Amino acid sequence: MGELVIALPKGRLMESVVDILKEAGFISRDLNIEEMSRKLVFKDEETGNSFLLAKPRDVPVYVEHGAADIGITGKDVILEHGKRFYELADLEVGACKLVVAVPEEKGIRGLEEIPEYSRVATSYPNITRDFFQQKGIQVEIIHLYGSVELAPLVDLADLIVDITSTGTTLRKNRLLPIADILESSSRLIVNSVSYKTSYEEIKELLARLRENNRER
Amino acid sequence: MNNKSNILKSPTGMKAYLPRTALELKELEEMIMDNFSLWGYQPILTPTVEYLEALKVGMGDALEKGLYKFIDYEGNILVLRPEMTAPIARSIAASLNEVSLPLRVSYCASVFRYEEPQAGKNREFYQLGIELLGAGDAAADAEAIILAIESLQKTGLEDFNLDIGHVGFLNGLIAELSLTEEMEYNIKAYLNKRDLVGLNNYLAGLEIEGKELLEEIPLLRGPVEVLERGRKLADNRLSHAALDNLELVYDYVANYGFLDYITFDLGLIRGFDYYTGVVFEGFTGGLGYNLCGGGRYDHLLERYSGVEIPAIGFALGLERIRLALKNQQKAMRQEKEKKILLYDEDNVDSARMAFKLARVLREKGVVVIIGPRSLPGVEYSSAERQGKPVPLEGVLQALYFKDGKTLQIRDLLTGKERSMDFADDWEEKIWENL
Repeated sequence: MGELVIALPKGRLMESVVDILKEAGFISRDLNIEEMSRKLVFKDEETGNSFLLAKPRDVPVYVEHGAADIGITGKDVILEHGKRFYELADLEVGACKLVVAVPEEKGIRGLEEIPEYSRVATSYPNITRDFFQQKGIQVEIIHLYGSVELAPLVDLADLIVDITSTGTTLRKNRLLPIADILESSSRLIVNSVSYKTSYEEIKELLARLRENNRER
Repeated sequence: MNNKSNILKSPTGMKAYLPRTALELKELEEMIMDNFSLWGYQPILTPTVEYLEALKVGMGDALEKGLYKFIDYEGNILVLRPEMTAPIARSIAASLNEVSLPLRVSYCASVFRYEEPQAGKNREFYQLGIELLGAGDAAADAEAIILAIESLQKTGLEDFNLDIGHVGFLNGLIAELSLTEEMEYNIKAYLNKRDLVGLNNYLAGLEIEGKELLEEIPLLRGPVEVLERGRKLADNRLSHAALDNLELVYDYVANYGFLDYITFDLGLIRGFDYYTGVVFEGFTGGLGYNLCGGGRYDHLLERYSGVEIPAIGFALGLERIRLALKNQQKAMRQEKEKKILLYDEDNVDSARMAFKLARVLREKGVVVIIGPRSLPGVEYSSAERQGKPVPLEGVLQALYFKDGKTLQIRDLLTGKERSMDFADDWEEKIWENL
């Protein structure tokens, strides 16, 4: 098998992604994930592949510029980044939704009830801008890098756009989802030149992923 | 707006190249343009700005988002050219009575695209390319492909490859499955971006017989056997004609000895909506972007002139080729040896003589700089020179008129010095002493 540079998403997706790649034979089975996550870059001598551990949001950047041949990250991240690489497979893990949520006490139950020029806190400014523009609602976007649910609590924003998988964090902060923007899961993305220069390896990976998906 | 903060900045995505890099780019440009001219291509110059309505005729609406637009005094919308093919087609269409076909033109020009800021790509970049107008056969397709390969090869680049496809193959399949225009648009958009997840999800929602043919397309990439696989898959005249065309191209390219440089990809459709036949893209490992791209556009000139003129062309990215060569650690230029002629600031005669001597040397092609003796780094005594770096990049010899009668010649690398009487016969004697 040829040698690919693979960008893996650090954090909550990492473990399931590594499992899938192990199953597909692209990471050797005896590699210890704890040990891996302590390093930034490592080479798997058995498969010949190299791995770099990046924040999920940075994975598209490594792939787009060819620093990594392939990468795995969420569809939400891909859409926010803008697509300038190939998206080849849905790994069907890390499912979550990007939703619009408002503080319960505001009494807002739908998008049409959102007052004009509301302030929206989000770490997805591009998707949020496009979404509200399409719906014809004028909002002011406040770009935060994390803990978005904090913004309405301190009156930094009137509502938020954020990802949720089970809804627990939203509920804990008394936030009510009122609209879905998109459903996300982890995707396999590939640099457009690597797709060609490492075509055989990538085709092989795709075939194995598909096979394993079917068995699951 | 505080304008002062922009004083030292280039506009976003625009770059100034200082001589060290600019020389490398120029050298590459010359190598490639020289090769174009060996095939009979002659340069063409077109305006940097075009009317938006003129470009839209050629390029469709797709590219409008990425254009730099502004308005002239008469209220017309102008754009900075985003590529050269449509402007060239427009220019030729406007002067069809002045040219004879087939016409071979080449260019090296900067083009402008408003790329997303985070893309890290330049918004002004340099393209080199050719257009072969008025030739519609497979030999013309092969000419463009071979010329692209040969031009890259001549820069010293190794380990690059061209993917070749044909838009007729997919169009044939689409007609065979009688898809609606909307379906065709969506499927092409997914294939163009290689969004296989999007494509499969989209196809899953369609009630169409034979749609699994479309799922196969991204897999149709590889050596020439791919064409056979495509032939078995498609059962229509258009797709088969496309494959016949590709087989001929294969034959010509292989015959030229460039078989190792090509791969077929029947899923390749390039972004521009004017392509009608063979399309191709070049790339190399280690560089995340294409090196070149091109294809056949048989209806573009017709859109402008009403006359059908088949054509094919391609563009190479000059800066990307330079980056690829850097990645492969290829030397790009041999710096021309320079000499410096020194004069005394307080002696007008010595400066006059310096100009005179410089003229004689330059007539023989020697690069000569004239400068004051006090120039920092041009220390004069050889003892002081020892072990010090050569002043002024690329200057290997310093010549100095001592007292207006003797010329001292010093090798800046070794610090060795000799002198020559500056008598009447100096114009002959000078060459023995350099």
